[in-house]
Amino acid sequence: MSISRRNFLKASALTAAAAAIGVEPLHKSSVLAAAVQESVVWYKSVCRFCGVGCGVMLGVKDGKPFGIKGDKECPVNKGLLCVKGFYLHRMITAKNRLLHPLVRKNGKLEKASWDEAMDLVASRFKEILEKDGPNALAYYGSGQAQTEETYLAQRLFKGYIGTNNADGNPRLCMASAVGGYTTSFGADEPIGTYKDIEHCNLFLIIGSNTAEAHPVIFDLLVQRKKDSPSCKIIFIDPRKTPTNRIVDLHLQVKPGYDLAIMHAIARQLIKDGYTDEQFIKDSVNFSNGKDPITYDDYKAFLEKYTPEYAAEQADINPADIVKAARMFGESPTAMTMWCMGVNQRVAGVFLNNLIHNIHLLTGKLGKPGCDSFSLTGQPNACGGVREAGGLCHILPGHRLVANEQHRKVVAEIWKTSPDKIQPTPGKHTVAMFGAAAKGEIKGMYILCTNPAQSLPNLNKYIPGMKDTFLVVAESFYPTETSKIADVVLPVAFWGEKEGVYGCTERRSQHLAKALNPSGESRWDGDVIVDLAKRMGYGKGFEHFKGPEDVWSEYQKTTAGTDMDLSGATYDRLKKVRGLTWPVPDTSHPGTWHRFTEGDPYFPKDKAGNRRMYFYAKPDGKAVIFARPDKGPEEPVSAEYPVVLTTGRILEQWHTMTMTGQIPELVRANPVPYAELNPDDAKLWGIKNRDKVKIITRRGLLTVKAKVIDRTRKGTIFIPWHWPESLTNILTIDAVDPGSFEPEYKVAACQVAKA
Amino acid sequence: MIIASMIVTTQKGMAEEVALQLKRVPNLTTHGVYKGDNIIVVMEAEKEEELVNMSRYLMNEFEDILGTYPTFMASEDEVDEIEEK
Repeated sequence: MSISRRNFLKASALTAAAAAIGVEPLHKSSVLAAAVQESVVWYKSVCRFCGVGCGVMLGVKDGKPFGIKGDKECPVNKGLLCVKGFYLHRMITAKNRLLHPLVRKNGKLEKASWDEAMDLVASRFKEILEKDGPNALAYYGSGQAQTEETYLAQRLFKGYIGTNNADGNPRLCMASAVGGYTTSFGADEPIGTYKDIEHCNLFLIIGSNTAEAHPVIFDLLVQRKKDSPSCKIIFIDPRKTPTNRIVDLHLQVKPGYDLAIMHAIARQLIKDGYTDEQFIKDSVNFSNGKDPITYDDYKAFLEKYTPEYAAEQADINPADIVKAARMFGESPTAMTMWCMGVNQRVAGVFLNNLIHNIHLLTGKLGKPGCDSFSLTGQPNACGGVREAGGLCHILPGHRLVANEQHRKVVAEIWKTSPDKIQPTPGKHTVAMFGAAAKGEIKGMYILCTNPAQSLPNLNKYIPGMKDTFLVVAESFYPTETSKIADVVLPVAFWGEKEGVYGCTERRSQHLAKALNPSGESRWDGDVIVDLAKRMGYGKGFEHFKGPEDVWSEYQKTTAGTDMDLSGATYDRLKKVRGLTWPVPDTSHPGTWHRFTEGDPYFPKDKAGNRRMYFYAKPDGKAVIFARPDKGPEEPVSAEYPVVLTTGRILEQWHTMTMTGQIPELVRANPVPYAELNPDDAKLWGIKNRDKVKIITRRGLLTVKAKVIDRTRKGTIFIPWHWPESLTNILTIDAVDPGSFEPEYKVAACQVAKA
Repeated sequence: MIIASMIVTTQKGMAEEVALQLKRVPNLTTHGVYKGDNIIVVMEAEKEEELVNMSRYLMNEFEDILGTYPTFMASEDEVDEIEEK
């Protein structure tokens, strides 16, 4: 018998949907199974977009990408995909794939051979190195690069060229979370995992539009609320978003004024007796940020933060703060989740600390359903950059460049002299591009990222990028950055190379190579090794024949550390759906909670009767910080009376380098826009779809108005995705003094009808 | 012509009612409610972009819909007929 193509496709569509939610196939046609088995090969991988780490299966037919489906066996998403991930395979063959090297000649980028391009890069870098020293060179990497790629780049720049000017774009999104974890708990990254969501009855979401930025996590929250009728969600955010649909209490705060609220919640928890005094006694120290203080000092410090004071700061109802504190305190379990609304702030580290404070006060850490859990923006910001040493102050394995012993250990593995690794941190991202603007950095290698669109206060930095000898390794052309580069190197895209991604929950997952690289493109790791050889460092890199060699060496840098990956061999990672470190040997199943029973590094002898021992701190105690409630760098004024905040939408991702290639996604929101509160729009005489001018002290942008009841009065929101409308000419480049992360989330602006 | 499927998740206890409302949306067929609040939906449309547009439309227009998760899409024009073994 025969069936029509239409019926076959309907059966396939139903079967795929049924499989994604784990129910019996709705159409038991043997046609589908036969067709799928015979013609399509499916490769296990991880989604290329946000930091959730969804497992995907990439289908290949006749050597070409055929389709994508969620990986049912992956514990993260269990087969579910968001709309961006669903189009991932189409990006491999996007029209703007860069297929050959480009070199700038007479002001224009022209096609060149690999030899010509690489000889030029190596000779210019050597020339700069000899004339101006190693710190005139810089590397700027990405939370989207695979761990092996980031590791190799750090090895070359920090270990051989000898500069710590090697940073990455997680500086712009996650650095404050790193600062928060390391200062509060002694070590970076969360204590728990997604598994805690299944046990949690109270979620506090702050500064995150989870429904749009992390849709699969949002679905986990939805499912948890359905499974547990007593489960509640508190939301602290300046906007109403689709996340509100599952929220029980929304504190719609004035942007930049939420630190006082966290102190007020802490004060209320103490006043109402919700603290875990034994936990505090066993596992907590107190600090004012400079010196140790006592618990009583901390209580006295909090007295200023009455609900009324905090509510006045944030322009909300004080009763809601009390209600939020009591919901948090009464629930036996609690998880706080946050994202860019917390991190992209001049007080980002402080706010991270204040989130950890309420978990430490109540002991809601290190047990099922409890964690202060940072959501990550990029797929390998944790695994590649935070773990493999991709920031200017760190080395692989959560080590520090400032620590002599750490430099020694890493130098030995890197087969280089410990003296080659400088003992002081290099320039963080904003300082690095600032140095380029001043002419101090003369050569820069940019891998898999687009700073000419993503840096804040762009007009200040783009001229310097143009003057610098700029090398961009990219899969796509043009981007705002590759357009102004001197050399553009075509590199393999997702699916065309093998590697490892580490997601939000400390899970390292293997991505299979399913396809050959397009055109003349090459694996980034191969290009970095090639550059090392051409610069004269061949001996230190000749043993790397492929990604597995790189991973194996990287594993050694993690051995014995809090993020031990010794047991996560390539062989093992290819078979399993990731492992959550520490995983010290190949029989270890991975770790759910750190710093407690079950963590292989939990020191039972030192811990005694303590439930948690924060072994990265000298005395095993975490720190509750009495931080000042610092407001935004640029508060509104009579001249600039409106708050500008920026962010993301569901269908697009970052600078649209990938999602911008999929017309289906672009057409969902085809033109740049600003969300205006209806009351403001009325006051300003602006109607829906009118053109509006947004002016800050740094620039002017004209976009369409979207009048919608989402932002607070006096606040506008602009998604930052569109390259033809650079939102970041408006944003401020003031940074957090601890994390050096810029304050994308708050700036003062004027709004007028164009 | 493309055929696509997706999972539509709803507020607790609202899936049957939402599924009923979705029956009135052109080009959309619902195929039951599963595991509590998941509706399986199949869409037929002229262009691929309509899957994203539909996803956005459902999120914007139906307060009780919490998420839309695409699971399959293919074009009817690629192959004419497939023989069943």
